[in-house]
Amino acid sequence: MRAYFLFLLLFLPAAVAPAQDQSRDLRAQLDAPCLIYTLSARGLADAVMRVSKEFRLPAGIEWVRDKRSFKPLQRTWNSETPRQILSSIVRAYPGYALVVGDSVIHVFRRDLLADKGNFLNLKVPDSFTVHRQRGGLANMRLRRVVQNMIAASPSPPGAGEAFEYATGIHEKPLTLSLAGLTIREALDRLSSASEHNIWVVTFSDDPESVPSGFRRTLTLWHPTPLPISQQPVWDFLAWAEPLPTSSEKAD
Amino acid sequence: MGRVNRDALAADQAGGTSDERVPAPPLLYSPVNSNKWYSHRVGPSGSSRPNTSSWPPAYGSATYGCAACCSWVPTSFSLFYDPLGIPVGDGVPQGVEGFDGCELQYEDATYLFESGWSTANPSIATVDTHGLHTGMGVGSTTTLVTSEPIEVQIPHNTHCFLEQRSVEGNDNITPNIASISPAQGLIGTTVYVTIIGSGFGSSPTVNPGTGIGVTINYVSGDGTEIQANFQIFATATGGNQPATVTNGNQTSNAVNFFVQIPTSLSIVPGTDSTTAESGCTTSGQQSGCGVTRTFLYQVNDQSGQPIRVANMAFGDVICTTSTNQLNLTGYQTTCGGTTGSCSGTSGPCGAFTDANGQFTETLLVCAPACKPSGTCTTAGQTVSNQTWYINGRALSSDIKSLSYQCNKILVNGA
Repeated sequence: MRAYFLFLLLFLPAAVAPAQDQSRDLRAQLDAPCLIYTLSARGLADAVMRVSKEFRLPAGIEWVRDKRSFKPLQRTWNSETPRQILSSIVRAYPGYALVVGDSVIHVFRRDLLADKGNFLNLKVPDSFTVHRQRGGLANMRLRRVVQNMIAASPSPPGAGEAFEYATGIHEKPLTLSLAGLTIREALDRLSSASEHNIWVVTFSDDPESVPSGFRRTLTLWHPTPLPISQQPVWDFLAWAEPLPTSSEKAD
Repeated sequence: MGRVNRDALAADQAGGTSDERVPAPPLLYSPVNSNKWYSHRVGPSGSSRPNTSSWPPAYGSATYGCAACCSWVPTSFSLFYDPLGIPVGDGVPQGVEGFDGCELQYEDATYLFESGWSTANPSIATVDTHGLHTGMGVGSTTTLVTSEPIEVQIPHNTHCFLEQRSVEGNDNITPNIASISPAQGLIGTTVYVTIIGSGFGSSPTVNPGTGIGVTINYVSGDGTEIQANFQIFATATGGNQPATVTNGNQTSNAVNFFVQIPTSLSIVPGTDSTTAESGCTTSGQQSGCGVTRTFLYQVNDQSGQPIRVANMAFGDVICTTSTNQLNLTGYQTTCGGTTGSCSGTSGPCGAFTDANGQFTETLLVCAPACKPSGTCTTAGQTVSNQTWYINGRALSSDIKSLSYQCNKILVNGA
């Protein structure tokens, strides 16, 4: 319960007037009746992503890639709402919880929420701005900022940086103020404002952290562990594009 | 057709006696074939009969007593095509050739067989008086064609004789493909194809070429349309593949189905823009200047044609060359990660083309070297090579050279 309370506190500062509208929209979508819905998923993240895409519910997922969370799930719901469907999915995976934020639903493992090794609790530096930039590129730049924060050897003085971002989605330019927010809140803002509506942080079940103490992460697109210089990584997915399937297999 | 034997004619031109010479016979122009010259000749025995011997005007005269008959070899007549393949509903001409004993070569003898054409089963194929066959239904039948009386030569005989000759051959009426749509497909994908034509029957088979599997989903009741999935394996041969339809044991004409292989990227005209960043900050919290360039890429096949396919996964790998005056320490790429000492991976990583086979590319650079004393300036360039991957295939023949500069980013020098 304390974790839930902390989680809600973490999200309260991000609430602004437009977010209240989004919150109303989100809750309306969550409580809309559904006649029948059948799901066949290869684990928790896959299940939540599919529901998010099916019902157009922006989602943030923090999960650990282990055997428990890869348990296949096949089920049909009759006359239940998306909220009830999500709740029953999360109940199928012990240790996980569902919280409906202002504009994004969150599925997370409870013990990771306030974990000091969870980079999502870091703050976005004041220097980070998003001015008329595509959401996908802003996400890439945010990831680079976090990588620089937790990397063993950050960029040397005088080093320049280059980004290459390609997308088949027609993304509108965004101007957002994310400074001071946690990375989790920043991802929520990006996913609710951009065409990328799902963010997924996949933590490795490898107990060894990166040297700075943060948990290692993986991408959904391939199971290969990433080098420390590429930590952390997360997936920023669009409803309009195919969901990852290739790496959704238990170890 | 019967003509004076050339050996005799040669002997005559070499100096035959004058009393053996006769005036050249009158020449009559053949209405059937302008290449033939008809004459009225006196035979070696002294008997005279009209015949259709030709007489080259240049020869001028013939020799009594020495000239032997030359004409068509009677056993040499055959149809041009046996069997004759006829797409159902289409017309295909047939003809007769024979050996010309005078010219010592095979020649078109169709004009001798006018009006003598027939087929054994007109419900499968019909034929007109000129040998034009029309496929009426898929299957096999035979054609019989009989000549008018024609002059033929008989071995060891100096006379030419009039005979009627008949020739028979087989006709195969095949399914006919008029179109296939789409006429191309991306390697490694499954394409839903519609084949329009005739004579497909109720249970045809489709052979779309090497490395392509087929699942037929629908055949129209009148045998004029097939809908099928073409599964183009990753091992398929690129380029045109001959697609055919077989009904029973009859195989149609081949229509090309082009297997597309992603080969290059081109910038879509009118989509290119560059914006200067006069006050950027790096992820390492250092102030610099830089620039952003955005444009739309089109994926093209090996013939330079656009591949208009959605959801082609792409990724790229960028490697810095020795020129690095902007002091770039690495690249953040679409797929992230590293490949050897380079930045990026081939994917898939959640980046896909749109429905037109296009995607937006944004290149961004921010370099403290471009702002050495508080104002933006030029500081040379950093050059790198960018290799794109489409559906896991490297576009190795189209590696892009990127030149990062403080106020612009060039791709292949432009």
